[in-house]
Amino acid sequence: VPSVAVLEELAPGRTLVQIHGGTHDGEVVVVMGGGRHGDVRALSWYLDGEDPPELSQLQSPQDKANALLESLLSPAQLREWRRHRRFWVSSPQGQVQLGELYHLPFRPRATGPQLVLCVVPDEPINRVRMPEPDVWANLLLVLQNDPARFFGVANWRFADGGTWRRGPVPV
Amino acid sequence: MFDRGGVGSIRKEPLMGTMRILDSTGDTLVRWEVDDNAAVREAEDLFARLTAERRIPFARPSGATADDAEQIKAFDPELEEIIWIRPIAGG
Repeated sequence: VPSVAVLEELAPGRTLVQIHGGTHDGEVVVVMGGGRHGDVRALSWYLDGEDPPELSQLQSPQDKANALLESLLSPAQLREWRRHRRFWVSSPQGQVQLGELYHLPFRPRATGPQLVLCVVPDEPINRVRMPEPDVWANLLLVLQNDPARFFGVANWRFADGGTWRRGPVPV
Repeated sequence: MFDRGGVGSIRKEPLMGTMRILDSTGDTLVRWEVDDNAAVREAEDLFARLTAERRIPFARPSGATADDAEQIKAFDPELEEIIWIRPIAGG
């Protein structure tokens, strides 16, 4: 097909291709997500693989990340996420709300002022970033399983204002 | 069989392991059959490469919430699902 460019041989019988859109074998091909590599890979399975693609393989990066995040949430967190795109996570140090980049409200368990934290996955600067739900899945797993690490690296400030301070968070 | 695909509702075969590697595509899914020695070796090599990249592996029983996930240090082909996250830093 002239409008398909081979990008990479993935495995015997499977090739990563770039589709430039248009009609292929009598069918109109729509490239989802503006041709981002994740979507192109899914389409290459359709063209080269013997098995029909699973629906999940045709999901956008955002939808895939959201499906994984939702699978990690408790029923209460899932309700919060679907309603407000935010959810609270309990830890021995207190509750942290995930859902807004660079602004994570923190209610310490001990008496004291509320804080705002800033923690992100440490991704290479020159790469395409992971979709936002992946960021929350990443932070959720650390916060739930290794809160000391989470509060050890978090930058923080008082909720009512002030300057950002480097971690560890005073808890 | 060493397989790659997308996230979502996975057709879970008995005695199969999966790795989900968080990345710009949402995640890259790698699957292996426990009794396929070549696939297990390939998955083990991938585990070593990702560890060297400072990524962090968490294991969970299929479909379990983050509460039931735990960080692991070594590859076990019989783990149902391994999720690879990135280290974290102050933003």
